[in-house]
Amino acid sequence: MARIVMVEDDRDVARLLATLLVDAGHEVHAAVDGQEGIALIQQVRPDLALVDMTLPGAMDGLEVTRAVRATEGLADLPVWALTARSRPEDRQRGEEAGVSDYLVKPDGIVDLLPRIEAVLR
Amino acid sequence: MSATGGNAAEVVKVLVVDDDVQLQAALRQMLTRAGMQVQVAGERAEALSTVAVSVPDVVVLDLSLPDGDGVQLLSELRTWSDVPVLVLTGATDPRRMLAAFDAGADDYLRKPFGPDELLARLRALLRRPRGEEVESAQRTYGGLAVDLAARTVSVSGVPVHLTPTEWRILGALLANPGKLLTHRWVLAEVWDGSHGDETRAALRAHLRTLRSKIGDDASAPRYIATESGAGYRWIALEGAEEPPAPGPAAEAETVTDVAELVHDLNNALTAARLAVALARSRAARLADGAGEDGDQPVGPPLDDAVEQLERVGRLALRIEATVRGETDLLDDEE
Repeated sequence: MARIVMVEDDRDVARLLATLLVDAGHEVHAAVDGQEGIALIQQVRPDLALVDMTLPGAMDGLEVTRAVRATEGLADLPVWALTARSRPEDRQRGEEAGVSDYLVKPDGIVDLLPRIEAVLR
Repeated sequence: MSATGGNAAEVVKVLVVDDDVQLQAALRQMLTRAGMQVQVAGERAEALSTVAVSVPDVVVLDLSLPDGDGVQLLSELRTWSDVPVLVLTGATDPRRMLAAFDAGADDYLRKPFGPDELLARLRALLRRPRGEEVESAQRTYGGLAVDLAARTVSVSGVPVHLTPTEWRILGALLANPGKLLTHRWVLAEVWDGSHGDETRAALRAHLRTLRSKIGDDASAPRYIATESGAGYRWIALEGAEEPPAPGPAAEAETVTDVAELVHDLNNALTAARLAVALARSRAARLADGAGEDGDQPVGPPLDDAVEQLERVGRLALRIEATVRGETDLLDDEE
């Protein structure tokens, strides 16, 4: 069982993703924008953060990731980007911000559970 | 902040914003007796201009104003000033109070109140460190001049009239220079989340008009850049030289509209994939456990999958209509 913070603003994606994770026995904490997301990550100290790169408000996913990396004790937290943009330049920007891995929407999302199992091992 | 307010050597400047003449007089008396310098504004516009010109150390704001709600005034003020604001209210609706805090109130006091309580709260506010210097209400970006307090805009010296909605959009952008503001965030900010019938299409229409009024071009933006499928970003630097003239207008708005719709389409497909994955994993557990307690039903995620596929269909129709320039024929459901 992993403790997971999910930062996703699309209501349907967030609800279904959370249900899938809870069904699989994980503990899920959800935020809908970047500022709420970073606050939750800092408070919950999860095993994994799933962060949509396109978020409402003044903090997008890259900024959330940078804030995570700037937080003491969270330098090694796996931050997985939920994004439809996976061009090399997008990935480079993500890596520079501190993104650990990518779940590319829509198809990559189905690999989520086995990949979490792999991380937990 | 221009004055610490907590320094005994300096006279604290208080702006009272209230249309009730009796309360104005009572507040003036209470605050003057406490050694403060009091200014009074009876309406929203006067309050904004007084903050801009006199730079008070603290504002006492009555939420009920004749020419606009106090919450709205706070939102406007917070686009360019971090002056501490104490809200006075007779309202019993807690949502109104929460709205005032969301809009940037620092503290509140319910009417009726005594002078000791008012002064104690003001002193507490004045002791709080403020994060940043007060920003000027006046901004210039090349030929574009914006006065947030007076609510005036001019392009190369020629005044431009903006509607209240265009003002709110411009204010939100200027308050967050360089930041990506998503459509959903701007909609919630500009319409206060209370206009369910306002859609991204309406937001895009307002953006188009605003851009046209301030001399911007979506295909070669100088002020407002569109992030495809995401939102908008204020890109001009304050005080910068006149940016190069934009290139020829292209069909950028159509491209932007389609990009946003594709973003939504992608989320709908993602949700559909998740719903199917959920149904599959539940079905597998049901097969393994043969009806153990705690097994979750498969029906709801299948319903979700169908619903998301219907959403995909609607978005596909909308993309086709946008490309053909026939969006007037569609409703604004998506």
